[in-house]
Amino acid sequence: MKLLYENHIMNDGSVIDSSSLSALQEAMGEDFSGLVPIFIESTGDILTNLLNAFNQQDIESFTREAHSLKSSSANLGGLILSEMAAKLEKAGHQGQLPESEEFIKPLKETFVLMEKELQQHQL
Amino acid sequence: MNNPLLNTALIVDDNLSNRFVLKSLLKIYDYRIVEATNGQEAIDQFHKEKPDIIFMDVLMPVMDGYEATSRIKAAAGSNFVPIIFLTAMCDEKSISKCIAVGGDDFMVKPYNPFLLRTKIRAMQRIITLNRKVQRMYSVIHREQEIAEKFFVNAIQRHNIKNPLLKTLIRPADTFSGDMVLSAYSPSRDLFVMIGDFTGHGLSAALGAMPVSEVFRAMISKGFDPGDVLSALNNKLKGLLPTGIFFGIQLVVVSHDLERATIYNAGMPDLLVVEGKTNKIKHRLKSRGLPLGIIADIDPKKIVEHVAISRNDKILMFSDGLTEACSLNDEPFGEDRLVDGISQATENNLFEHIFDLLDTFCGDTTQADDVTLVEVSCVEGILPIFDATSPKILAKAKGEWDLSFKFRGERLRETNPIPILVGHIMELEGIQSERQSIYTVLTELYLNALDHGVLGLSSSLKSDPSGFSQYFSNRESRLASLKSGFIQFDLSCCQGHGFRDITLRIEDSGDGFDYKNHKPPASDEMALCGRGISLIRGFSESLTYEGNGNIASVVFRSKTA
Repeated sequence: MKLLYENHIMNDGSVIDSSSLSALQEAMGEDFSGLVPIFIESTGDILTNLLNAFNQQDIESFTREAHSLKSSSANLGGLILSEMAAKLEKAGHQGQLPESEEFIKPLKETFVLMEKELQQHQL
Repeated sequence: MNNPLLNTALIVDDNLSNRFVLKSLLKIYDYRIVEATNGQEAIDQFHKEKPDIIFMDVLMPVMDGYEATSRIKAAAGSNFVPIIFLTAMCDEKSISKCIAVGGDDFMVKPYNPFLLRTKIRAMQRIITLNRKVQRMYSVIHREQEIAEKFFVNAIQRHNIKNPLLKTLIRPADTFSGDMVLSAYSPSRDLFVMIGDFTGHGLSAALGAMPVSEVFRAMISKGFDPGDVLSALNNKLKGLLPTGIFFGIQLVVVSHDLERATIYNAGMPDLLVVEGKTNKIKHRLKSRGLPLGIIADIDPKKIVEHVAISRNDKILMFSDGLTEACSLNDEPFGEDRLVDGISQATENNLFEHIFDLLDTFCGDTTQADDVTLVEVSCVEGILPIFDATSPKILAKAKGEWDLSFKFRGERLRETNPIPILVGHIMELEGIQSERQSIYTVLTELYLNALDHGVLGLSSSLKSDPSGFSQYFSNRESRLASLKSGFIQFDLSCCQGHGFRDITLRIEDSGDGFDYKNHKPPASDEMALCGRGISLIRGFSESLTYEGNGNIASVVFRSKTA
């Protein structure tokens, strides 16, 4: 199937909803600084797993990884990445996988943007 | 090292960054945090770490959160371990499944720290409440166990222990609303009563205490079964709240094993089974209301007299037996019971019925108390006759006379023997060994009443058809009795080194030619398996006077 990701960025040009991120930062306190590297590492793993699952046409793993990405990125206010993941998950639930491995590109791009914003946010 | 005072939280999520966030958010609660990355690990951690609260992701590799939750809840049993689902799926179906598999609450990701705090507070409140309930339950359970031991002790301890009297009560609850009481009367009759209070559990069991007290007190004093029943009814009428009553079957097996006197009030049919063949000889239906409903009952309207033979078995049971259900909710029923009786052998009737019931019911939870009693009508079920003279206490001094005269209608209402024996016991300070005085007085009294006042011939009783005829004649003659009397003259005299109690009984009947004939009473007593010779054996003398309508027995005790 063809995947159309609608909003690559939000109105303010960012990929993160800064108010949810700030709320999380406030709630986590000093732990927050530990979260960013963990998120970056685990999201990198998820993207790799997603691609592997696609290559092996393993719909179940694909769906689960998409679901995982959806929730973890949403936690940090990464609504754009989360929505992309949600679309993949929904497709997976319907037993469908993307047409080509091109699907991973916009995810990776968004993830790079998110990484940058997170690092800026920490400063 | 684990701090035992610290609550443990288990976080189950395959996503590392999600776990990290939640761990951080939970810090303010001072939980000791353990983690699992899939459902199977969660189950392992549950057993190993004994968490107090679990946060559970849904979609995970190996085993999902739904499956893990239902297994953990099953393993936790009555121990409350709250599971809060963490779900990114907020459709109704997913959320309702969280609760359906045993989850206690759910939180939609991404976490809202404020909501999380609220939910944890609510869960803590439920945990506290649940622990309180558990503590209270265990206190109640312990108290019930103690009370139950006390009950069983108070009620059953004095029951007859004899392998020929087989009894089994299976309570549906800690307490049984069914009860079995057994006792011997002073004249060696066997009394067996089964009773069933409405319902089961503690409220049904409470009435058992006064019932057993009345039952034992009256039977030990020699009261008739009808009097016992009336007294039980009146006691219960005053005690039981409306809506609770007491069905009973009372069987009195006479000491000569010739007769069973049976009362069935509000219970299933009582069965008399022929000893060798297991054929049902008599089926005795309920003939009266359960006890505790109306103020005065007439035991004479309930009673049935049945001639029995050696080896006959009397089967008594509560409706818990026939109404016990199988897994398919089908009742055990009368037919299965009757089949079971016919299939049993001579020696395994009781056991066979219970085997059948167990096989039929399987693992079904028992809804009501089940009681079954088998009375074997053989010599061994009766107490050994204690043919000894009553022992008079040394401190008894001086002499006394007591006279009672019972006239006409009074004779039909009262059995005076328990009262008379009570007086003698008190006057002479005799605590036990009521048996010999009681037996002699009863024999003389029944002879005086039946053959003297009522003019019944004992020859009727020698064949089974005449047996019930005898009792119905007796009932009708008693009912129309207007004149006649029985006089008791009881006295005690002090001699040198001995003390005599004399029981003299005179009736208004024609008497018999005691000088030339054996007294008719001896035939009567020979049937009873005792006879005059036995009375002579433990009394100083038995003499007749007048027309043979006066009999005297003397008991002699040696004194210092």
